[in-house]
Amino acid sequence: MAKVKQKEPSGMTLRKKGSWSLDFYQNWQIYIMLIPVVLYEIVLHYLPMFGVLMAFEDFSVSKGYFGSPWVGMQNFVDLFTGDQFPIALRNTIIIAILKGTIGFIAPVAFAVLLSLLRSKKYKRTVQTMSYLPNFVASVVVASLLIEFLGKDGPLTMLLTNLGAENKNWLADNRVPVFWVIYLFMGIWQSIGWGSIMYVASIATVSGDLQEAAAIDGATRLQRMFLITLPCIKPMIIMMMVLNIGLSFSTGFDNILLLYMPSTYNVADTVYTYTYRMAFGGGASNYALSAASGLFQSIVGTILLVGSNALSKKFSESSLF
Amino acid sequence: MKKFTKLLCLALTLVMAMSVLSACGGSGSTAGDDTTFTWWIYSGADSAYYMEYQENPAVQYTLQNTYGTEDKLLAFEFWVPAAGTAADNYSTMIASGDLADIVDAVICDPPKTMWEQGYVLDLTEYVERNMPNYVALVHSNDTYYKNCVDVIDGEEHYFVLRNLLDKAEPVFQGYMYRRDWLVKYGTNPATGVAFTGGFTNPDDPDSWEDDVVFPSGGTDPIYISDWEWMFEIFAKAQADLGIDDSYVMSLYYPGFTWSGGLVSCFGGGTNLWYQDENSTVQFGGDKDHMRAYLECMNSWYERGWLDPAFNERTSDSFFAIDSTSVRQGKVAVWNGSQSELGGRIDAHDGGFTDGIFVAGAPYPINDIYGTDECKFVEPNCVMGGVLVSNGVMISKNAEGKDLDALCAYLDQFYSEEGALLRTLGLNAEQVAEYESATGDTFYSNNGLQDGAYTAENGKYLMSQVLVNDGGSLGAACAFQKAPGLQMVANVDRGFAPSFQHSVDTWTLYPNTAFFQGTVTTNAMTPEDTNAQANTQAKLLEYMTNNAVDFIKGTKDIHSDEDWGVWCKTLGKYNYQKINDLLQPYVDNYPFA
Repeated sequence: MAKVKQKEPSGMTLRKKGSWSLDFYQNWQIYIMLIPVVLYEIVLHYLPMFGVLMAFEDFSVSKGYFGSPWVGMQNFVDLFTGDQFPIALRNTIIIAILKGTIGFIAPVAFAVLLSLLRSKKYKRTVQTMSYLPNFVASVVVASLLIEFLGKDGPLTMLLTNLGAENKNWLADNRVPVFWVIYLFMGIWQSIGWGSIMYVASIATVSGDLQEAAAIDGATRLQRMFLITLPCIKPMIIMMMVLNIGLSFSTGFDNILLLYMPSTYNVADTVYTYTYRMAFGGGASNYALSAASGLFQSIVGTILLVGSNALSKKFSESSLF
Repeated sequence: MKKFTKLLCLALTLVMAMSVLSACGGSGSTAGDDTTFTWWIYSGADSAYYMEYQENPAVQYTLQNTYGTEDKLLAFEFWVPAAGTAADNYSTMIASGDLADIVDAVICDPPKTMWEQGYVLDLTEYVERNMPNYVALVHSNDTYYKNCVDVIDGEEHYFVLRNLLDKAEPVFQGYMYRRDWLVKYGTNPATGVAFTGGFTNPDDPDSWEDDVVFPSGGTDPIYISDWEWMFEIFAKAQADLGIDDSYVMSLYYPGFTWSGGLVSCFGGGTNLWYQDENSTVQFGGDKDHMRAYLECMNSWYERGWLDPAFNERTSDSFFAIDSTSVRQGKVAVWNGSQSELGGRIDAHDGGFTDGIFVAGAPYPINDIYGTDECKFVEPNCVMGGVLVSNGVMISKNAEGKDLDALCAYLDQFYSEEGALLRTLGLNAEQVAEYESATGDTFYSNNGLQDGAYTAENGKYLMSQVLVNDGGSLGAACAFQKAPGLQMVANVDRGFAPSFQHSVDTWTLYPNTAFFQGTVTTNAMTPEDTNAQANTQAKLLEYMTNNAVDFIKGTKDIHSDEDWGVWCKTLGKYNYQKINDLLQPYVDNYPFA
């Protein structure tokens, strides 16, 4: 049977196979659809990077980027030489590690446990309920926590009845009280929403595999560890890499709402420390804020690239 | 059917176009382009009364008349930033060059700097030509003059039109105590006879009379020793009433207020920057008066008089006292507002507020703690107490408009009649005239058909409707955003004698030292403001974290070693540089 040679569109012969121009020629509609996204990225994410200049200036709004005097690394020196900075950095790292380990595992475990539920109705109800805290504003969550953990709060009363000291737990500056409170608050708030990706990923695991394993006598626990988790490993790794990259700079608004001077030694982070230094003196120090933001972005990028490389090396699965 | 659809589309399009176009155009006045001004104000009015500030009846009343040599009508379009966004909004205006014609001088650079940078106009010729009331006032008082006039090469220049107060305004908050407990549990310190007193009219929260006398001999607690005497009585009262976890006084969370307050009762000023009696800028954080203050607080804490959890009451954003316990009637002394005076927080529920009478207390004079220099010196840092506030500037964007007419318009607010209009609002005659001319019944609808005030024996008595209003009706019915003369001295706010006495105690000692947030610091250049703010942030960071240790006794305030560490650390932040930086502003822009 003779092969039918597919007719090439005119002009196509001029373009090399696999080249960008060929791809554009064939899929130009897709590229046009990409334009808004590219514009969005450029306007809202790349152009503002110009503001990084502020980190090296004694920035004044009225003088602008080009009129403000250049001070080199002085803003970074101011940031890093503060008495409280080492404590803030330590707390940031510890909280990031806690969020990246326990805080990361919780949604995965929750998703896997959900997948083991037999009643679909019950599963959906639990799933929906678990999403709700994600939609509660941080300030409301923090207010609830302040009430619950205050000296007369219901959670404090419960702990007191279990033999713990009666006190305002949020004012306890001993290690690791604040970290534990903050970690569990984060888990409560994000466990449902964070599990969506894993639930979706688990749904794609082949039912045949599960069925075959069950016929071979694998228990539900064994199937979870030997089939479900390995199948969603790429998703877990992707989320972990992203999580590590962002762990240094996100989620500290809750801390701002919960901490107080007496708990600075355990609760202060680079983010909150910068906030106080930049805006706590009665005027806005945008330059110091920009320097801190740049520092956190650089650390975040290093963590992201590093975790991705490690992931590639040890698990043969990576984000990029 | 197709035709009908087309017609329907056309009709809907027309409706849409009409509705869009209806939003365009002026406010309906016949003011010309050259007398229509945009006006940026820091904050608007309470939206419960109206959405746009130009609906303010006092504004509308003044816009009925013509101004300037050519008798022109004026119109304003007020730009009001959303709550909490004023600073950002202002920065955007500056950065884009899109300044309103008239700009509130609240968060801007010093007027002279603004003029040098080309943002605002030199108003000298317009002021001299059209504002006789303003010029006369400015030259009548040295504090006014220094804040309103910039002398360049020997010539007077007006870059800003300031708000001028004929007397420092009464403050709305201060320390207060449960006087009813003194009557119930105290005895005369001289005779030992039990006090008597109570409400003469159970329905009137201010109808209180008693024979309470303090150890210093007066009817108000004047000295720290008076306070400690009443603290002992309060502790007895709380024990008798069986109040669990009781303490006498609720304290702000860091253990001090950097605006001065109690800190300034110990022979100095604030714990940050203040001016001493020679108008020399001082930093108070490491001075003897701060140590005496902390010593006093430590003593009160050790004796169980202070809220043991005072440092847990809040986070960075707010100053907070234990308002729950205060409202439950468990606390005896706290820093509160006018709305808590008298019997106003009596819940009549059989709880601890039953029969409460709260009286204002002046800042006490220290007679116990610290060195001799810290004792028997009048407090000098009370919030407020200023004679000049921000005012407005005219931006370059207004160049070409009829500024003679604008200045003539604004000058009326520096006359007595105009000052009343901006301070209190319309009187009965003006209300009748305004409502019949415009049909706007704002005043009548809010019970002010007889005006916002009445004149009696040279005093202006505020309407009872405004006196009893717990909201912002007073601000909504007057043109308080206009620059002008603020009437204070001759305004009778209609307070009951006991209430008036409490409010007066809060300003018993005038503010002569605390200049932060006044025209003095508002005159600072952005660079100087930032330099001060950066140092202040570091100083406050340290003090906020460590003052509590001295108060709670974790560190020993009596130990020279501990105090030395405190002083050395504060010195590390080079506050002296800021002292030097602030001195010219204190010299050139006095606030009182």
